[in-house]
Amino acid sequence: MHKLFEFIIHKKHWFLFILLETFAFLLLFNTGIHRRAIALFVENTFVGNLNKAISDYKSYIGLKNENDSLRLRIGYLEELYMQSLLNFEEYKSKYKDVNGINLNDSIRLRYVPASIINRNKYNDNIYYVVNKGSKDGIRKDLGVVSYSGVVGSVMSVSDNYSVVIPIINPLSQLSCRIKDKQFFGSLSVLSGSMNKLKLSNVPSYIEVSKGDTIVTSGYSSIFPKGIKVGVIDKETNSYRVSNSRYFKEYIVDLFTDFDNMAYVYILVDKYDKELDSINREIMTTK
Amino acid sequence: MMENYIKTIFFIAVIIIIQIWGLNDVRIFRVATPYIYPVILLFLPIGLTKVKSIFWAFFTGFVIDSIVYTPGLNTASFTIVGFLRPYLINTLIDTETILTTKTPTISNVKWKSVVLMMEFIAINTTLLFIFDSFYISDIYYFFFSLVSSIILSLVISFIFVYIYDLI
Repeated sequence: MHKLFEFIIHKKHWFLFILLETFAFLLLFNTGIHRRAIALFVENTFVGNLNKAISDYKSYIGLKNENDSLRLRIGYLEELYMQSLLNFEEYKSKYKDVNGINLNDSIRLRYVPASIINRNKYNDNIYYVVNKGSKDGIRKDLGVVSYSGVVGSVMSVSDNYSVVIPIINPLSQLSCRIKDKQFFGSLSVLSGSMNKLKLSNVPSYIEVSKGDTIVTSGYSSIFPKGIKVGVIDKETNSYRVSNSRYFKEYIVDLFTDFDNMAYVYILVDKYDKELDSINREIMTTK
Repeated sequence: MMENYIKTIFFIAVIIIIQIWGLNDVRIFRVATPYIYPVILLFLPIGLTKVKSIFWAFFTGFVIDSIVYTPGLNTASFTIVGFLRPYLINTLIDTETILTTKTPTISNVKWKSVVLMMEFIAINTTLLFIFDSFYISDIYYFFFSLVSSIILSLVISFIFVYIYDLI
């Protein structure tokens, strides 16, 4: 406060000058139509620019909220898209098979948007922490996708946060298939390399070419079938022989950009609990 | 000392009166109007504070505007000159070697007084021309009128400063 007074006293001639000059201009612009018109023009220009600057600032500040609502909207649309895709698939199978599937079962996925708040790395094992937890209906083993493809699955959940294990984590494995081809392979991290995944267990008689799209197989409760994962890059040198059958391996380029990912969607399955309890029952029977 | 005050007040009053009732209506060749009142700032002490300088300029401009009914026109332009006066003096005159109670007239600071006078008149007249219309329809006429007004103001002002020094 003392410094402020000192500043005002030190610069008093400036304040006096601005005050008297303002008074003079007020007098000047209040006489004559021409000057009044100029004053109005200047005032309008100034106020207009000021309003524009304020509204630009406000819209910039509101970007986060707008972003959040857009993400919610994208989640909702993804949900609708997936539902319609599933409906279509189910319709197809319903009319093919006599034993039709109840269509209500197919409308079951909910896309919950979440922000990535942390990326942890322990001994080459990567984990993401997202800002949605059990309070938002998130449970363990739910699928996580980005707007471009598969991300991973929920590993553990607290009230407000969840830990996601991505498919680029060596501990993770995902059942996949090549789009439009009837076979299933397993996607896992290529040993000795980060961010490179391999699709293994591909029978040698399957014709695979570079650029073929890999999608989820739907052979788990985590992901529904048909979610994009990546594209085939090239064949590896290793292979596996089992029961006199020959299996190849392919390197896969992922759709999801794991380095620049800020938001994800957690897929909440309506019948997840039910499916889980059946699985558990099978395990106990074994 | 008292004589000096009376002389200064007298000259300021005379210049304001001449400006209002004599020179304001002059329009030589329909081009030039002399504005000599900025010379008043030469009759005030070199060491006049910034605040007092602004007040003097504002007061003079306000009196002229009130009488000739041009509200704010001379006040706005001359207050700016009053604000700039201490800075303009500091660039020309070494205030440490000259008595600050002296005026920046020819007898005290020689040619520097003429330069100061030119600066005061040029700035004031230019601002007056701009504030008067805020619009230039004919740029050549504007500059011709401005320059001729400044020259005419300088000639008349010089006479007043010379007489001030003589008395």
